[in-house]
Amino acid sequence: MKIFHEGHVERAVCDADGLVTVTFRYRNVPFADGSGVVRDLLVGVCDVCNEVILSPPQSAPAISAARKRATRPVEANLPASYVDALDAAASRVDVQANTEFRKRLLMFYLHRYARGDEAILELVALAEPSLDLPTTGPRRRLSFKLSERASEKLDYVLKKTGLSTTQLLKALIGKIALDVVKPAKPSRLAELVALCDVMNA
Amino acid sequence: MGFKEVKRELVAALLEDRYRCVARAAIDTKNLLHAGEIEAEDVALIVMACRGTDHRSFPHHSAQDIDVHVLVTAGWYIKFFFVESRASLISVHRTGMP
Repeated sequence: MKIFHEGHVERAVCDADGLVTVTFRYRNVPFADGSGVVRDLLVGVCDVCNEVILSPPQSAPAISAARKRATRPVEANLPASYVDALDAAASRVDVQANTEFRKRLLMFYLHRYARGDEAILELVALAEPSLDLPTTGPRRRLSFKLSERASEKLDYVLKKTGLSTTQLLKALIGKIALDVVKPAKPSRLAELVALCDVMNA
Repeated sequence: MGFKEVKRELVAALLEDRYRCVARAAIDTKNLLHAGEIEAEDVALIVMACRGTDHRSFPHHSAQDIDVHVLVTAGWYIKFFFVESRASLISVHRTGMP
């Protein structure tokens, strides 16, 4: 493998500036899903807009190691009605919301329970099947990765409620359905739209 | 550049570490090569199995002289372009993802 050093210059395509030169520099680069940051990573920086626009192969091991440290996979096999409700809430906030926004919505509510903005023990009741969210029919897989901080919050709420991860996800989706999907005018919609706008900025 | 040449160039670039992962101010976690969740050699193996019907190309939106190539094969989606002798990989992910 050819090893590059800081200051190496080559040509590349920048989304904003077209064909440009990049200079390799050490930067702290976040993961796009918000799960953490890789510190002092050698990357190609656009000489026009100063944004990070590429990374060379030699940076892959550092990214991989940081990714393993920074993330915790969460997976659940849920009744399709739950995943549909979560998607309905996400699209109500932003019609262009992608599956990444599922996680953001869940984390928004997890954070509220962890912080005490919502009564944490209501999650136990919310985890039970309801008329709005039938448990029959096909099942769908929900999976995402959590940052270290989000993972700590998840552990805290799991411990406080005694629920399993799958039960907690069901409870959070139950809450989201009640808050965002069911009401004609959801009271929390403006707050969630603002959150989505900030994320997409 | 025809499909066979595109395929040959991409495989060689992946095996010889003449590739870059495209970033947009962040590490694209949906690009499994960029996130370190797949090795370049494994991507090369996927590309080797591609056929001409798996390939399409179009001009890069911000550099019209550069063609962006897309390979959709065996459950994989791979999007890339070449700058000089280097392959720049925009996407390497399972199909079905947004």
